[in-house]
Amino acid sequence: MGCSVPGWAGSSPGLGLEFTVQMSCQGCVDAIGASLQGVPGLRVLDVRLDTQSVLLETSLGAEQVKELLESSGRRAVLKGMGGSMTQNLGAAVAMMAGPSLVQGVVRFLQVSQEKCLIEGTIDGLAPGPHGLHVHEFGDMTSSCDSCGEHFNPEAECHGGPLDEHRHLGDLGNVLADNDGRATFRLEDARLKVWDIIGRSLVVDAGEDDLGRGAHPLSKVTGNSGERLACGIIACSAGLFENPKQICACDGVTIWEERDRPLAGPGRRVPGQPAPHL
Amino acid sequence: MFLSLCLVSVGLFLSLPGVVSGELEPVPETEGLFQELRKKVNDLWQNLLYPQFIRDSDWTAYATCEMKPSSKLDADKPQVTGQILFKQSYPIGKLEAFFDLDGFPSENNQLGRAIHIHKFGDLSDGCNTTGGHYNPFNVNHPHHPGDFGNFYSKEGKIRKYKSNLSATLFGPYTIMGRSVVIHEQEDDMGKGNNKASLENGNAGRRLACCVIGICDKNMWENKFSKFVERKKRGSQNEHRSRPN
Repeated sequence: MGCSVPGWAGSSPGLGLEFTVQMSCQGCVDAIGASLQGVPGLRVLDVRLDTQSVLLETSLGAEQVKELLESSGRRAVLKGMGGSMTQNLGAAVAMMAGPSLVQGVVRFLQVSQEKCLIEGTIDGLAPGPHGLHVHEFGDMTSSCDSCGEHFNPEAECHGGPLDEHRHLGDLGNVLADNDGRATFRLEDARLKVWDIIGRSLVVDAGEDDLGRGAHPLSKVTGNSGERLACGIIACSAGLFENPKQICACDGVTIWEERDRPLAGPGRRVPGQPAPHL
Repeated sequence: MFLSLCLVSVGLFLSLPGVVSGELEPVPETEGLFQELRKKVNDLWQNLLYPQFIRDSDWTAYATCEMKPSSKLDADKPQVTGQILFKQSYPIGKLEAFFDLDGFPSENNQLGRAIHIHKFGDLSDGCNTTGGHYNPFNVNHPHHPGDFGNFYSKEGKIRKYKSNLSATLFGPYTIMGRSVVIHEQEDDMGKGNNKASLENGNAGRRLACCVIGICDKNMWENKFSKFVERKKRGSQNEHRSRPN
């Protein structure tokens, strides 16, 4: 609700992504354009040297595009995301980590009242399906164990994402490939970004039986086993909602952080934009 | 604008049946549509006025934030960890908070360190992606709702209870899902005589940050009862030390 984003009137369906990419010359701009040329499901809309920004529309996941951009040897940070419809109602991100080595980034975008887009990449999983659920608390005090139960405001039984009777937080399964990576893009008609901000997303060790199993836990958790990784669902920036430079402190951008003295006269460059915090 | 649209449609519902019933039988199809729309409007209001997490917990909201050093922080900087807990009663209670942070240099008489709420809870590039100060009303620093001011460590720790804070866990300006950032330096509280001072208090590098998440009342109640006990002990000691 508080994280609403301005709309972006695009022409075709897809996910709008705005990246800050390290680039310092027109050559870099051309190189970035070339590196993304011909990638299926991706259209570059704008590359700007002055703001170091790359705007594109894609059916790929944000992490995949970030990897593509970084494959040209430049660091990229996602600055904002939005749907290409005029209505953008909220954006969120969950950084998944936990007791195991499993980690990932999952992004949520409310593209209309009836459509929540959930896309992400989770690494370190055993190949195969893994249950994915929104849980009621965004509390990591005891890692994923303090996240509470599945988010279930309607006091329903556990089910699959397409079932009428389900927890609101029931997102079904994501499939990890042989390298242990799950890349997914889900759409959910019932979940709303503004209902889940401050709660958590949890990925489990086993397959969610969608409430159809014989196990006593089937109607409760889908019997999907222990919690491998979790992340608080946090407000993130919509397209163009984050005009400020991404920075670590006093106005130098992240790229400059590394080669600039930590303090003193060398810190600021004349003509550098005013500090943004 | 959306709200006023809702209001208009509520008004329509209130007035329509009276107008229509005398002359026209409502077509069943339209009736169904009306009911559906009415339910939607009701749900929207319900959610706006009474968010789920408040209904869950005796009309009081609790939140927690697990502070971790920024993943982009140099190793020689203080590695700050700890927890911030929030509580607020609905609808007119003021926000209270416990700050429990560790990892500062152990020498006392350190300068203060600024703590602020930032706009986003996005930690995908460490604390760098949390945006600027959360500033929904477009005012100058230090009048942002999450400008908590300076905190002073004792023996490497910050232990602080604050009440009557102006940030809120409710409504369209909730801080839920946003971040708390602790900075390396002191907040100049807008008196630095430059532009940055009115934006961020010149508080420097982001040492550590965390996302504000929903939790139940247990941690708060635990902490609060200990805090009350400590206060009681403190005032008893004071009494004893006073000459009779």
